[in-house]
Amino acid sequence: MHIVCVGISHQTAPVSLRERLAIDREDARRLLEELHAAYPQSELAILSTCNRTEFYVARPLHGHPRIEQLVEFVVARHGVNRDQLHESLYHFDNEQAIRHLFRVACGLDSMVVGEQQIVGQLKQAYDQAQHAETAGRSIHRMFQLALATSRRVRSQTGIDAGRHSVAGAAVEFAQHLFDSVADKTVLMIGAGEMASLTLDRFAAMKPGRLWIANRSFDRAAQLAEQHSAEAKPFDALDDHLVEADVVISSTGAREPVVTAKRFRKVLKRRRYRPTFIVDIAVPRDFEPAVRDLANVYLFDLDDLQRAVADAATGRADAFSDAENLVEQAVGECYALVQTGDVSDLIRRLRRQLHGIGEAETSRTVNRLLAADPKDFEDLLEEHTQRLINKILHKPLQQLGRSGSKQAALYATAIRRLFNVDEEDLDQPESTAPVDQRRPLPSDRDS
Amino acid sequence: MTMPNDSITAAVMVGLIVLSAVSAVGAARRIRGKQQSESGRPAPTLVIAVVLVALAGLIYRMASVHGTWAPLRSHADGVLLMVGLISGIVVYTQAVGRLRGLELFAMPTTAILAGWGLCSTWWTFDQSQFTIRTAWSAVHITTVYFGLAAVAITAICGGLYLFVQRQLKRRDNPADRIRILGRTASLETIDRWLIGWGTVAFIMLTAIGILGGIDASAGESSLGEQWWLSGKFIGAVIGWLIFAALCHVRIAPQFRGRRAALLALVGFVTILTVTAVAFISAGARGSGHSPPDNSQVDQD
Repeated sequence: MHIVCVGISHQTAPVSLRERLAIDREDARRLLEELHAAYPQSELAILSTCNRTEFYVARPLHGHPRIEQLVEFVVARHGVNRDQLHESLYHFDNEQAIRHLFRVACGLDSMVVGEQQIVGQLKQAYDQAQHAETAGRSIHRMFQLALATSRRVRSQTGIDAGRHSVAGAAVEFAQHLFDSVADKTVLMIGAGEMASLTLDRFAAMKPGRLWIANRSFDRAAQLAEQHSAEAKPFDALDDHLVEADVVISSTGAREPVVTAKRFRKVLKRRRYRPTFIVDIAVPRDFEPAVRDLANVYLFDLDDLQRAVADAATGRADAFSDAENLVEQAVGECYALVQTGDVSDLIRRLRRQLHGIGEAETSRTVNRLLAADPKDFEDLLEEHTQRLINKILHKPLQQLGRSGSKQAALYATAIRRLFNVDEEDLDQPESTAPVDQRRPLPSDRDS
Repeated sequence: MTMPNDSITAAVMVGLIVLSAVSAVGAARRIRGKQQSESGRPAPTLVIAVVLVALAGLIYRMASVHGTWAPLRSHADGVLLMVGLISGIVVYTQAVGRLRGLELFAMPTTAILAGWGLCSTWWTFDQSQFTIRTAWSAVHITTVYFGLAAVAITAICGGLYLFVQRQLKRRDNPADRIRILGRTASLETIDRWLIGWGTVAFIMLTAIGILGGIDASAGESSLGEQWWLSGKFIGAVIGWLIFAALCHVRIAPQFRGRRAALLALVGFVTILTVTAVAFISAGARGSGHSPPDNSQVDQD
């Protein structure tokens, strides 16, 4: 089988083109059916996500659809500009196509490396192909191995364990302090963009109370509306700090807003309940000495950025490990697909030869029934000759018709496959007398 | 030094030490290691083995050494019970996915306790059996070992709390710290378990004190008439006060968090020291109870 992958992704195409080529579930089913009706001998699967649309095809070596045919199909179907599509299109063959599928499955080709969502999308693509009955042996093997490799890569390399943003790192640290924020109060001080992003992440965890305190109450009210939070007066900051379990601070103040002395009093009032503080302001809003107070867990921008940077370094190692695992799996998958292909070829060849044999046997039996027993030997010899001629007719015809390069290739294949004149290639020259040597196949044949 | 009074008990103790130590090393490697485990959960096989060996040891001692189904006839029985209880709780927390990382401190503790059990088979060679003359003595001894187990679990939670808190407070290698933290429970969960088990330990210690007092008043104790002036009693009272403070952190918040964890550890060391000293000093006098009738003593 010849494996082909054709598609576009976030790395090659703008979102405007990706949108036009996006294929929903129902559409994918119809497309698969149409393609299968047009090319019944091929196996097909379509992977369509917000970041990519890819066609995976396994077809006979000289079969269809070719890449151009797939492109034409897409152009006709989606009405996109052919030139624009060609600029953004990539295609891979055989091992490269399998490698691409495996990298996609492991999240190595994703916008956020290691993301998990792609696994579900790949499973969906595989399910669609199965339901549309366009998944044959090759597609089954490729997708099943891709999903298995994805699981292996994620469990063995931790490629999906990294943090990708300061806000993400802050949330992760908070999760190691608190079981859940459902019964906690989250307070944002200031109205910085990064603090707002961090607040978004905490808001997604559905905290008990979400407060925003800013010097400008109007701005606080505006932000509070955006985040479904409650605006609080900045003057009563100490009272809010007493209540808050998570504090996200990002004011534009030039001096620390909360000193250690001030926070010690707050801490006493809140009966030393643990406080998680994310200080993203530069210069910092919380005096560094606040960190040393009991039950206070203060993380500044420097801490969080280092967490993200370290995670990226860690991911570089994980990335390399993941690529190695993928490479290993690609080799195995390609060998499996090809082995399956060869077994299929052998089966078909045997069936074909049996057909020839049966036809010739039937013809010879009829002649034997009517013949004189003394002609039997001649008839059997003729039967053998006819059988050999019929079996060799097409291969020898191809050998004769081919160009010089192809003829040489076929000749080598025949030598190897039928062990013709192979002694000279594989064995050291024998010094034994001619009559003691093993007869050459050609000798035997003659 | 004499030989252990029962070779099978000694073998069980050695087995528990080895299993606990290997399990502890495995837990440390898993928590600090760079690789993620396949399932994300530790393999509980070794901890289950500790539970089973401790249980088998206890049954063997009841059936074969003491020849009675009444448990806790000697200190070695008590140690086996504690090891079994602690490792059983580790298995439970692993199974339900709560208090991740507990085994990091629990298994070294069970190794230490099993070591103590092994030593006790030498120390109490001649007086290895408790003499239980009244129901109060039986209840007192049972409460002592359940209480000791509760104290040990509180201390284990304390150790885990300090470990996790250190990871949250440190500033170096934040990515490594997040990875380690991902393999342990949240500080809030550990705090809840710490206070919960601290309260259980406090209740048990109170019961031990009351029952011991009844025992001593009835003249059953080897501490003599002025038992309230003995080191064992004073040490036990100090331990009791520590746990009293620990279980009241919600109304005495200055003991909250790190201080509560430290109190748990100090309380454990105090109680362990009191018990160990009592056993060592009572080795020749009958394990803190009246000297046994020599005709009843098994060579266990």
